[in-house]
Amino acid sequence: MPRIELTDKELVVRLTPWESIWALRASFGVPLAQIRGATEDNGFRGSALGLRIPGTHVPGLITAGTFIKSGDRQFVYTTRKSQTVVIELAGNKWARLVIGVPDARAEAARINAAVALHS
Amino acid sequence: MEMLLIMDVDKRACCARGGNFKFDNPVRAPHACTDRLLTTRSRTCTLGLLNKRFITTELGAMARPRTFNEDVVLDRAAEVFGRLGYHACSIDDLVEATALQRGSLYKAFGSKRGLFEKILERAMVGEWFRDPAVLDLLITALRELAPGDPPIAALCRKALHAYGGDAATLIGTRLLERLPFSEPSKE
Repeated sequence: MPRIELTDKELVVRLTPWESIWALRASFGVPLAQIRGATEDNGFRGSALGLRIPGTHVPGLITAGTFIKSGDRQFVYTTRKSQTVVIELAGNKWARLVIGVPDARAEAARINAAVALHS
Repeated sequence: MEMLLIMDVDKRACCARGGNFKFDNPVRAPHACTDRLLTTRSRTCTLGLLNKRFITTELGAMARPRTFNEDVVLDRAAEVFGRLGYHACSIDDLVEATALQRGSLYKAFGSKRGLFEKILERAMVGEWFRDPAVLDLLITALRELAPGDPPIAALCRKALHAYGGDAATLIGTRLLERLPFSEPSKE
């Protein structure tokens, strides 16, 4: 499961080497200034994700990689046991990040608090 | 047969799907046999036609116009928040109530919190304290968000300060009004 770390200026998505292989993407950071908000949303799956180019999708187990929906490029990493937090971005190459975490509500609150503090 | 081609202009790769035909592996662009094509990096957009003629147009930072009435969406979302509360209200509930797509909801308001903040800001005007629905929204904000969310707390404090009267009585009266009248049956 990816780890979301928050610094004074940045949100960092940390992926293990295996997770990087499934997602075809190494760990990366997003400036807090580019985050519009975070939401717990366990319904964000299936057709809402859009077209996978490229990535990994094993139904019921893992969904990882880049997905495009209505022209929006989304980074997705969710697994069967995780809850989903959606982080909406502006001015970034990703339109949003859809990440599996153990407690989506707490994670969303933590990210929103960091963004409010930064702005 | 309608086909959709999604093309990454910078990487010159594309994917296509339509009818029974679908492939996700990147291939070299441009690709023929497409009705329409969407760019992902939004610099150029090529509309490919079945006869292999291609029309290229500059999109630049062009944003897609909104096709929904924001006031109607905010009213419907406010009703759901007032009825269910903030945490119990899922994005699925909001998508169903507003008839918006998930992506459109996020794009327009950023997050569920962003949507709630906008609804609260919009509601706290004029004689808001006379509207039970707005009071329910304020109670939801005070109970579920304000303790850990300084901007929402500031919004609530500002509205209650502007009210000028006894805020505790106002909120308490509304809470008591919401109590059900019927007595629980005694077996």
